Amino acid sequence: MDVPNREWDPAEVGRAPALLVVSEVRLFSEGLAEVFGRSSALSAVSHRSSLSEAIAALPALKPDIVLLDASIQNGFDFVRRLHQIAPHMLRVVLALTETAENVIAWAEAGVEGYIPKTAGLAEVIPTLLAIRHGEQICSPTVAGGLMRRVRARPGDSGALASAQPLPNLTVREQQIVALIGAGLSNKEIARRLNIGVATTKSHVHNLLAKLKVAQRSQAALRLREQSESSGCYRHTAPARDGRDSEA
Amino acid sequence: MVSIRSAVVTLSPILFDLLATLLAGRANLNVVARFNTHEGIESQLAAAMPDLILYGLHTGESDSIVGTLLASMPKVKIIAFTSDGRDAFVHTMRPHRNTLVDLSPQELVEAILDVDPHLHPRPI
Repeated sequence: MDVPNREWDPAEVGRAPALLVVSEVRLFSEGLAEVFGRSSALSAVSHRSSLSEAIAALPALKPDIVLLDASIQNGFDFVRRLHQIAPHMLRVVLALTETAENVIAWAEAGVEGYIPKTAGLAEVIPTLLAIRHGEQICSPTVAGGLMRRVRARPGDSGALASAQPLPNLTVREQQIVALIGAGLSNKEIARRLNIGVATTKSHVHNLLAKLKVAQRSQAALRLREQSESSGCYRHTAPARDGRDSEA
Repeated sequence: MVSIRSAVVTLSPILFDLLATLLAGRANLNVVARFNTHEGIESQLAAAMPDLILYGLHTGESDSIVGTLLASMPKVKIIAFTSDGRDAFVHTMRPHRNTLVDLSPQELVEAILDVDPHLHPRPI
């Protein structure tokens, strides 16, 4: 199938976009297309009443934005399909009940933005244009839900450094970074591990280099975040007698 | 241009705006009452003396409430919309009831324009 797959061009963002409205509800698909067709902010407006019709029409219509009624059946699959065949096309869901769960579910399906059910008609086109510029206004509740979701993602706790996998630390280096995290100085660590201060400094130097951080506190923070988010990197903290025990 | 005294009951903002925009130039929806709940609205609706009630039904809700409303306002026209906006039920003097399946914008405009705006006396 000949599908639109234009290269992303930031300069095109300033051009009036073409819109395709997809809704199984005739009143919305035809009514919105008629009303939006009067707007000079959009270069073209068309509508389809089913997902299959919409997909079939993509090569001819080449819309920049697909506005999808949230109540449509199999909407998530449609969004994923659109992403596969036309990744540069914006997908926006219309009349979404604005809960964090709904927003996250649609975002994970692949939409770039949404228009809440509480929005008025006059808000739709400005919101579409804002989404085209990478913006999305959302309620504080949704913002909070998104924050929690990002933090809860396995292996992605939101920490700057945790986007990269942790390097292999030796058991001794793990012990030292755990003690750093407990607030101990090099001298205290040396005493706790029954090793020399110079040796401790050498271990600290090596683990900072491995973790690619400049400060001891950053090393401890990174290890803790990694441990909390995935549980896949368990560090050990030595007991006071120097023997290993799990932290 | 005709001005239609309208009461709006739990209708989504986009749907109401869509109606008003589609009607623009032919009729003005003069909203005399607006309700975000179905609770206890009968007396308030009657006091507002609308010519037209645009009534948004909740999911799975029947339009039986319309019978109660028409009993107290026999000359009003009520258009009850299903929650998804797909269908509508146009009620005029009982027992007239017209179902608009797969409602089109034009059908809806005509249904609204069919309202006689002179049915009710205006408050002085």
